[in-house]
Amino acid sequence: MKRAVRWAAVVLAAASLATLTGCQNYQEVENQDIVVGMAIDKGQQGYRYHMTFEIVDAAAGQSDQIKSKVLEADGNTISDAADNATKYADKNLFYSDCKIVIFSKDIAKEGLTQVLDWFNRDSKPRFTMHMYVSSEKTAGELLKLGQGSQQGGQQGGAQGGGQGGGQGDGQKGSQSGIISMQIADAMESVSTGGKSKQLLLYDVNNILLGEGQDLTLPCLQNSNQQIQPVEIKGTAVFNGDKYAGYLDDDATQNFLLFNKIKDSIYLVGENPSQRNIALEILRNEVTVNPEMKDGKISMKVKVKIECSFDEENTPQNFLLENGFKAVEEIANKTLKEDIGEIIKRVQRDFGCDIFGFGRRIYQENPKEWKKLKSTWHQKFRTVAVEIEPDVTIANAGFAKPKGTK
Amino acid sequence: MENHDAFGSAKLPSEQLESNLKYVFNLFQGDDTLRKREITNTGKQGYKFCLIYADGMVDSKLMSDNIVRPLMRYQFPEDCSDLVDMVQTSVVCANSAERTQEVEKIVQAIVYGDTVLLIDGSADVLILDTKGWAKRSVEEPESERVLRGPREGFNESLLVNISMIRRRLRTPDLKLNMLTFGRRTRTKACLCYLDSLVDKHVLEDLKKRLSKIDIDGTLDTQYISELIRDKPYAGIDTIGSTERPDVVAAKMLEGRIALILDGSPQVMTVPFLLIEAFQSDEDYYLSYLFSSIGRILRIFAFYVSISLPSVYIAAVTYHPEILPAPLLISIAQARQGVPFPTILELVMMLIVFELLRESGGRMPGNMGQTLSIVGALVIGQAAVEAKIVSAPIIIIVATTGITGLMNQKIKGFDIASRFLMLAMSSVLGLYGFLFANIALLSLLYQTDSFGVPIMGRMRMTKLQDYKDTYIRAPWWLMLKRPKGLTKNVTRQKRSDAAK
Repeated sequence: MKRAVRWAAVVLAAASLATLTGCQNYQEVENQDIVVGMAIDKGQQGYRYHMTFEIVDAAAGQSDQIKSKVLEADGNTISDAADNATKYADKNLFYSDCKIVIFSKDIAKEGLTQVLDWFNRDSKPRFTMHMYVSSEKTAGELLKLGQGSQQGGQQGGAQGGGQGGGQGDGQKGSQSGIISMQIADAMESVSTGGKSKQLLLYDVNNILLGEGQDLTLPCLQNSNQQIQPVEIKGTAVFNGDKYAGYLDDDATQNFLLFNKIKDSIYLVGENPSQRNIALEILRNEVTVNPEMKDGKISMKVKVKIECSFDEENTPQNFLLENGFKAVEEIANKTLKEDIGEIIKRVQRDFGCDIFGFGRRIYQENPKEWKKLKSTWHQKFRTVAVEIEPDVTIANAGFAKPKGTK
Repeated sequence: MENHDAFGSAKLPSEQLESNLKYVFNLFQGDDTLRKREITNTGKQGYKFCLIYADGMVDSKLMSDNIVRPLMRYQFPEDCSDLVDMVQTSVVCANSAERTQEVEKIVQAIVYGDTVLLIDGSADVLILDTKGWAKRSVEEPESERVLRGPREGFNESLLVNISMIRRRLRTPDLKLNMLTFGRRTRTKACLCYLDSLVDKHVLEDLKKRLSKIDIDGTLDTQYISELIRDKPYAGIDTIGSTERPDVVAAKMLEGRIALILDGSPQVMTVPFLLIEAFQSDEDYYLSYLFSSIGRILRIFAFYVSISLPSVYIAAVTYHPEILPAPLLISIAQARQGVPFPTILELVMMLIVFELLRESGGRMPGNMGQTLSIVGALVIGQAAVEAKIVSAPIIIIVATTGITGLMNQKIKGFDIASRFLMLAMSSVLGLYGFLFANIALLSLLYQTDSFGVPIMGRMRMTKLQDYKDTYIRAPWWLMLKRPKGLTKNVTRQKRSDAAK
């Protein structure tokens, strides 16, 4: 009897432990709609937000290619819209595999802080989602482009004799029909190549909550191509959390020299219009040192680049005739111009400190930063910048000079 | 309690051959295989003898040549004061001839294939060793095959089995104590150990537990093993068992005690450490590198086989976010249209696998192919195509099954803990999986085998303690015997010449 009572006590204790875990939500995978991408637009019909979800259409995926479908919902807050979306979906939405979030320009202009609140608070979305700004009118239309390509693919397949999913050939992965995954995959390769910068939710948080740096986000636009309907192009510049302007591809590339990049091609040339020497960046390092004299702020920007000589698209043999030193000199000159130009342009056009000069002041001299902080956006426009380029060419890629036998 | 076979110290009733014969046959009333062979010596005195034996149990050639013929032809001297002594020492040619009056001994001798020689005019009889029943020859054990190493396995004869051990341990240090189990079966058994290595406490403990056994029959060592084990409800074996004499010898050399039971090729050894379930005798006959890889694989496979289904169920139904997106999507696709919840699918398929395994083990060899076709095609392919189960389940069940088959010695524990873990993680997810792990570990760590923890001594601080656990260290490094089994730990003395 006593033994039975003891056992009962143990069982009861264990059973009550079970209720403390919050892990009791047994749910079958097929009863959840896996969200892979979200787009946030301004709402219609009085709602503040209009959200577009790209979800995996597991039921349609009998062939090798996985398809997706798009779901739209309005709401007065992000969570409201997400909640409303479940009304249209027959299942729960599963956010943990969401890869990307696209904001429309209008939303970005209103400010990201209020939009990001739900993403940061809710336990389901991850901090590793990619953040983008749409260059098109709305963000939702980009996700819908994927639907078009899927249908196109199906038609193409039917014309090609009904072999499989058609459009899947030559594309990596079986998720090629899913636009969000396409964008996320493209970002991985583009950001290592130095064409764009991958920004995850936690990166955005770090910049927004940190001192002395303004946010940039990569932009997406319609590429008008079948296979890759959305391309990553240009950079949105933010003032605080509000959209301030757009940097085109060339400017983006120069701006990204401030980041650590790898395997990126950097073109240099004797005159700016004729850049025919390609250098492959192996390692780059930018150090910014703020200097303050009599209330005047200046920045010393050291750009150190180690690269290999990748290509010279000229009939002559410039490297052999003039040597590494000469190429390095040209590269230094080009680099100085490029960096100078992008900094000047950002100072002039936006006044947004996307280079993090303010952060450097904050790090070096926090007391001074306190005074500067409130007026930094005006001050930033007048900061004098001194650029010290330092390009080293590590190798030329050829054992023998070009043209010799 | 009724007691059929105990005759206590009863003795044969008379010196008359006829009445003794009648008495013995009376004891075996209803046993038509009991034979008698009456002999009259051709000499002047015309002594009368009678042999009693059980048909089929004796070596008949030995009987006729070495016992019947001498008894007939022997010329007894005129003055023969003690006829029984005369017959015992000078007439019969049997390996052993024991003189006795006790009914108990006579009965035991007859049923064990010996022959009882009754002599007219004496209450004493001679028990002659004429055992000659048919027995299986020494073969390689089916369940413990090896690529390299001795091919000998135990058979059902106690004496043959003892001889196989004795041939491997040629020392007077080898002690062999004979015991008898079973009120009705009277099964002979032999306790073997090396006196200088054995832990006396373990030996005492074992003897005490063995003496408490009071059962009518013991047909296999498993009867005894289950009667004397620690934690009988735990489901984990705390007593080792093998069919290979080389394994028994090796275990005795580490200080263990072996019990051989007549009629069973399985020899049990105590104390038992859990690691023994993962050790194979082949480990010691193959290169240490290869053996170590094999042993790590076996331990890994055991853990996979108990935990894979529960990890799957926890990951897919409770924590899908820990799966990579492509995997999650492909599982979700496979689950489309499957009518049962994942947990039911998994339990169903695991049971189907156990059914296949069980029927495979019971069925005649030439039907195995049918089974594999039914198993692979019907269960594997058709069930998936008919959308009764999803494809990932088949992969999980197949992996679980294959890894489970790797460790036959703890099969029961394997299956039981697999379903425990599955039950826990199907109600609590990974949290439940961890609970089940904790439960299993605490069970294992509090289980002893004759005073020795089956997980090994906790204070395993020296490398030497690990030489024969997860890996099999090269022989030149195995300087000591496993900890906790014996006080005499030095296995080999480090000599530089040897290496």
